Amino acid sequence: MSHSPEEAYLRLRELFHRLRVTPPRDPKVAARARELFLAKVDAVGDSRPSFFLLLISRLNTFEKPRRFAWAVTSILLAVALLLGGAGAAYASQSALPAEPLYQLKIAIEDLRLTLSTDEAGDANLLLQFIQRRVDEMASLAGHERFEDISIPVARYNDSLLQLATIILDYIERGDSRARELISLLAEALAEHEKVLSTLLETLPASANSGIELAIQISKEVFESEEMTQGEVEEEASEGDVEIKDIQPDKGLQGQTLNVEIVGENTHFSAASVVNFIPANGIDVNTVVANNSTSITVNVTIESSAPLGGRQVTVVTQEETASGESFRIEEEVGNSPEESEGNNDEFGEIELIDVDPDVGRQGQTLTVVIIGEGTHFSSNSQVSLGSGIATNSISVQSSTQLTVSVTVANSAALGDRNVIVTTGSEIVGGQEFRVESGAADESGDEGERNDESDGGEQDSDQEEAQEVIFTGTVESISSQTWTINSKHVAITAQTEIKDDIEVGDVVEVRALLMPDGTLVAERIELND
Amino acid sequence: MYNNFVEPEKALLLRARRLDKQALAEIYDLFSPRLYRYALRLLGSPVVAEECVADTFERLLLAMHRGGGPREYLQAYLYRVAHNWVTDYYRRNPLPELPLDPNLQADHEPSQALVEDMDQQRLRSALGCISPDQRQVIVLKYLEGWQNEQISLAISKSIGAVKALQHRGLISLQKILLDEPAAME
Repeated sequence: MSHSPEEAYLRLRELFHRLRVTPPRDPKVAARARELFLAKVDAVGDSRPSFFLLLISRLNTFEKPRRFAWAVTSILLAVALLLGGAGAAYASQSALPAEPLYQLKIAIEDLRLTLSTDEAGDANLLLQFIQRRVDEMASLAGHERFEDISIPVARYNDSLLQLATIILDYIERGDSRARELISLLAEALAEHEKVLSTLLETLPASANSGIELAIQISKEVFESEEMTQGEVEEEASEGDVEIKDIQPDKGLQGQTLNVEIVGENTHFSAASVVNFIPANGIDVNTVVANNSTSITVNVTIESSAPLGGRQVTVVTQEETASGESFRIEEEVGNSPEESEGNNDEFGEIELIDVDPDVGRQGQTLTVVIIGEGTHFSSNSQVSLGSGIATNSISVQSSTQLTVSVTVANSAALGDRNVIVTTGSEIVGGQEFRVESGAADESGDEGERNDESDGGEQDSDQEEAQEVIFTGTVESISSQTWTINSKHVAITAQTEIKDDIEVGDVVEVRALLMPDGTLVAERIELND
Repeated sequence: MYNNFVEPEKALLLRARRLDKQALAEIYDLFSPRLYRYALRLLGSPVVAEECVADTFERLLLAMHRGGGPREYLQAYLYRVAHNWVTDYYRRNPLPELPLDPNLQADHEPSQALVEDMDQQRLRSALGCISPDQRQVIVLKYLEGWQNEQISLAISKSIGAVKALQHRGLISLQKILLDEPAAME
């Protein structure tokens, strides 16, 4: 049974409508679920608070001890200088906890922190101090002075809290130094954990608790910093320069109007240049930068301007912002009315799919372009941007064509707009990206995704299909298994859940790649 | 409009990140009904939908306990978690067979209730057959009533990519449901 596109769409909408209607939730079950959730909140709240909660609880009181430390430090330093001058201060540097000069050593550290004028200086000092504390723990253990180990452990904890405070402040301000400091701290903590773990093996059980606490603290901070590192990267990734909004986003033939373009992470200025691509039929009269993320452009649309979408870019020196488009529509009275309540773009004229939308330098490939409301014909011309040559075009219908293109070896990397021109109809709305000609040389960035606990791979492998099958294992090697005569590639990401041997019946979840290769994601015994 | 896309105030989220019970309760009351409907549409079982909602909020809670979780766009975060849960559920459980289109059974007139029930099952099964990204876009767009900008935010893809996924998803569903009734068998 075949359906016209309109029939198919209406039938799908009918099915969507059916599924949209849901029976009411059982109020008793809902109330019970709410109770359970709040009980979990209580349970989590009662458990040992996370490092960050500890930190937050201390943030408000952080200044007081510091002022207090300044007073104590001043007195101690004055006494030290009276008693022995700088020599005593120097000698104190090797002092261990509970020794007479240790108080002076700590006082000098506090003084240096107090005199430090910025957070970067504080961070450097604190990194030194936590290393000292670990050294002290090791020395105390070497001298079998186990009872004093709790002193450096406590100060180790305090210094880590101060470091984390600095990192959080950096992150709050979007300061890139957060990344560097996190990296340094993570490196130090990894080393500390090794040292402390070794100590733990040699200490008598009675002395373990202090070291265990230090290990726990370093681990907890390490994990927290790893998460924070993820947040830093997340925030960095949010720094993409782009156009977020265009108001209005359409104009009529013959109209002159002001259009406000709103950017994100942009630096719009009087030097900004606004482009409408393709530019024919639309003239930019004036450009006024309202602020770094807002610019107002006055444009005139010619009466004969081709209808359809225009990609909008704002170029400010080295920065190019794009991401939204502007439409030219027929003059009032001629514009087709949009169907009531239809917010799903059906009825607009634009490109809605370019598949594949990525090509490599030097590659020749076939790209399918899907339009909506378009009138593709044998006269259609296709542009995928600079550095990409069009070899041939095959039109399947008024809304679909196939184009063979060759990406030049020297083609600039990055996105470009796809434009299909058919007579006066110029249609855009999709992009094509050129990537490096070297195959897959980029490492996996390992993007952190808190919410991906469910395990979905965050990739857009439109060409790869996930398949699940069961079969008997016929051979096993490090890179390939044969299961039911199918060769399945094993990668570092493949999860092999059980001890599996040749002859076992297994369930395989794999990606079927466009070239027919099966890449295993998970293999487990079939119960 | 079935979705007003209300984002709680940042202050509420900040309080929640400090595990403030009242704030977490407000968030639960605001989003739990929506997430339940979302899960029920996809899973078809009230029991499993409740499980999805419970796990979604538990993951939010644990993420916040670890110092993570969303700093903004809470709704997008929760729907991503629920989406991943559903995707995993589909992976763990065999796909239900696509029921026949009741309208094609000409020997007798099916009851309206039966037609509606089978239609729901058919679409649910078909949604399980398309890629997770396509499914997420189709569901948010046509079942939850989100705008492309909101979907773009929720799935961290450009609006162009959202449109492409929407197009491919509709084509896939059309093939499964309308053109090739035996595609799933």
